[in-house]
Amino acid sequence: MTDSTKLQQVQDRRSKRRRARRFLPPIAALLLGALFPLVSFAQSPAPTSYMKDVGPGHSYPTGAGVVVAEGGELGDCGATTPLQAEEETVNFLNDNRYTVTEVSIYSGCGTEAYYLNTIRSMESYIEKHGKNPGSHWLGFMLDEESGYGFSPGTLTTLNQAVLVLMAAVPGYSYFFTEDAVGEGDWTTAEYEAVIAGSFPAPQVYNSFMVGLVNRVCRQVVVYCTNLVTADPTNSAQTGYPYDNGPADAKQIIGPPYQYGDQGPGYYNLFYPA
Amino acid sequence: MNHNRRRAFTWSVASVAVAFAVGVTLSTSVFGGHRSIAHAASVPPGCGTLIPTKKCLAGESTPTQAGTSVPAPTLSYPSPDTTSCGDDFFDSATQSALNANFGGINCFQFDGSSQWILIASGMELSGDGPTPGGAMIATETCSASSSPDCMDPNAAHDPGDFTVAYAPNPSASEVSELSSFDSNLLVINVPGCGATQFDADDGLWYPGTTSTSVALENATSPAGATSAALKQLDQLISDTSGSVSQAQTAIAKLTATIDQEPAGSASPVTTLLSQLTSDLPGSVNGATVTGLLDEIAQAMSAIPVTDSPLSTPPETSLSTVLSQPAPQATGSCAQ
Repeated sequence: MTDSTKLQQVQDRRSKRRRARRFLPPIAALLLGALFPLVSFAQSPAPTSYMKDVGPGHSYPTGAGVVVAEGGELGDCGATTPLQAEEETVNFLNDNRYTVTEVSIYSGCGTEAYYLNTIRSMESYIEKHGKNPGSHWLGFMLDEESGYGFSPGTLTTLNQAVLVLMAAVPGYSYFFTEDAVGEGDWTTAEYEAVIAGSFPAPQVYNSFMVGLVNRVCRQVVVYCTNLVTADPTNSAQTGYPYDNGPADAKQIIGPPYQYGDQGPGYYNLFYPA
Repeated sequence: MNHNRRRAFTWSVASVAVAFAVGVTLSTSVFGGHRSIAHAASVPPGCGTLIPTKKCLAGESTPTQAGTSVPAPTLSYPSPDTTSCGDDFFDSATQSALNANFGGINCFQFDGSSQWILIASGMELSGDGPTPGGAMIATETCSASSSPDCMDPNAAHDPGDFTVAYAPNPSASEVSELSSFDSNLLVINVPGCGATQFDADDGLWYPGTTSTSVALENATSPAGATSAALKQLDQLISDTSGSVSQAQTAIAKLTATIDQEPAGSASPVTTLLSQLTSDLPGSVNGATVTGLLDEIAQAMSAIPVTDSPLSTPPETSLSTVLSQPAPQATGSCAQ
């Protein structure tokens, strides 16, 4: 091989490397662009409608698109009972209101079997007495918190049973998981399992919950849709930095919960019963 | 040469911009645009894995059903609405110290009450762990000797006027209010202790909740269960609007409890219960129910109440604990 041939081969290799290097920036840009939506922190579209919780005996919350009827919050040992919650729900439905029925899953006041039986009973009552439940009853909102005593495994089992129950109900009626997790209480995987198959409505009250919800969203993109729950009560005194639905939604990636074609999406406002 | 470099530079910039846009578009349609990889284009927004598609579709035909009238819900022992402490209730330094030492707080007054109640969660505002001061409830009772502005939620209040009652498990975080009864009883979730009651009237923590049914389930002795039932009966009696159905429920539970007592332990209470059960629902009226329940309560009053407080009476002022933030054990979860 002559020197000129060797030189030509070296030049060819350098030329190929140069041509290859020219494609590196666009490839990197392509990957960066692909990741961009996952690193941007805001629900899109921004939710403008909201659900609001009310306790039994309270009137419909003016301005809310959906009312969440609090009740049965302590199972069989609270100030409100499942009977009151289902009556509240039916009364709202009969007033043509879009309604969700909230039940807090608290181990101190009932077993997993108790809650499942109660939910089944309430579903039957609401379906029987409510006006147009298929279109106006959005189902249950299960307030499940790591501090409420049930293990994530138990809650996962319960939620899957509720999923089977509500999937068979005609119309839109389904269920939300309004979960709150304390630091170190559940793993990200456990939280994923608990909310699987539901419409998640995480209680985004602090930066830990923001991180948890976004981690799940990045890992399991199909759970990105969240009904962000904010606690607007007494915000000046609580000191919690997350007390506003639209502002909280800006911290969460993925789309907001949408009901049918009504608006760009919802957030949820907690209010003590 | 310069011309070639310019062309290469222009090509690079253009290709980077186009690639970035393509990446965003692809990624948004796949990940952020409401859809997952596993979902076809027809799947509506918000439908994640395992969620039935029909639960997300807009405009699905659903059966039309006329509603049937049901009673408006009534609370057995409702609490009044609350008034929240205003922005200037505490000065900013106190507010900051409260949040730093005790986490998120909820400060309010039941309407009609003369008491301010401050519940501190014991969890850092970030949610990342327990606070140095733990969890507690502080109360301030406005009286004739208090500041004339004591009842004003927007007036400045002195933390020294609040008395602190630490949670039975004071190092617990995520302490939260679950429910309330009347203007004084708060049902509080204390991790490690479960549901507990805080009586704002005496500043003491009690085990369990005020619900008879749960107390009956949890009671370890007939006397304990009966005392729990007695509490509910007392509340029924104090509520002159107590309905027949409420009385029937209470009686059924009480009867079930007494049935568990050893044979031969029948008391005058059993006789009264039998009479009351046979009288209901017949022509009974509210006054009859109230009267009979009152008799039962009197008969049962001789039974010792086994519920004793989980804590000792609170003595420390809020201003003191703000200067020495450390959880203090003034009781325990177990009686």
